[in-house]
Amino acid sequence: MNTTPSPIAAFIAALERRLGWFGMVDRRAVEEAEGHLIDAAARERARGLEADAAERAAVARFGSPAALAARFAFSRYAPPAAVVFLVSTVVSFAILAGGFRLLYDSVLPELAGLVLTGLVLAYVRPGFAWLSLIGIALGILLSEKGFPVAPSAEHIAKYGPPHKGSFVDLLKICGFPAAGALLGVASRLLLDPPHRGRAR
Amino acid sequence: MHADKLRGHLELLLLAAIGAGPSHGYAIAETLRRRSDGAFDLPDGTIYPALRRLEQRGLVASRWSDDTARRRRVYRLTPAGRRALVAEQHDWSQFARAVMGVVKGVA
Repeated sequence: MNTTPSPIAAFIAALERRLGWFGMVDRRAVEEAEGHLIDAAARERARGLEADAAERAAVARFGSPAALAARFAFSRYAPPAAVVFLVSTVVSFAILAGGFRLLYDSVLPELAGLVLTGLVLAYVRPGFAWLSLIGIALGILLSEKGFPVAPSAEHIAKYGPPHKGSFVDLLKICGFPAAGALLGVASRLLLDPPHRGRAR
Repeated sequence: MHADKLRGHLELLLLAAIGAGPSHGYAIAETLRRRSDGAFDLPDGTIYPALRRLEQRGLVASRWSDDTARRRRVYRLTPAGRRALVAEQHDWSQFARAVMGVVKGVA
């Protein structure tokens, strides 16, 4: 007995699996895709293709399930510009302020946090990477100059008074999230190219 | 035509395809292909997330239709969608005229 799923069944299974990667159960998307593929296969059969070849042609024309699932996911989860800006500012401020309080003896976790923030935001919304960088820079500025955290007496006794950063130092700090943003955009283009089979 | 050239225009194309009357996804894809003489040969799946975005923006509404043997999701323009289509058609016509004027050197 042949247990190999038909091309359409295999595509639908792959689409459901890929949507699951994004934590989505989207019955409507799956049902619409299946209906579309059945219509397209019927059209190919009417042009003279055998049933299996017709389904394969329909599936090939539909695009990759991975790209489609990614597009649905980004349509659903993509945060608006204001949210990107707010998150980038608050998170970068919190990383520096919290890092200063908790990890005054090491800047590595703070810098890693800034790289990661730039990377994640740019990956999620590559079109707003510039906006998230402005937000991060604002968060850094607020943390370093606007509302600097006063270290405790124990910290000063142990590590000395905090270093007064110059404007150039601030720009250097901004280089870390900028590097993260570049990585984020590059990763997004690599993993979800604009029209591999599709998306935006 | 390479699909990348359609980036940013797909939603207008979808509004225009639905503008003639309520359609389901397969018919919309066929309309795009037919009206462009096959030049807009996007992967068919591309249209569904775009339709979802249009729906989220209130430009398109959809419902399941049981009028045929298999139920289909039918899309139609909302009043806001129709206004957006008219505005986009106007903008696009101006843009296309300007580009053609420059490209052909007869502006």
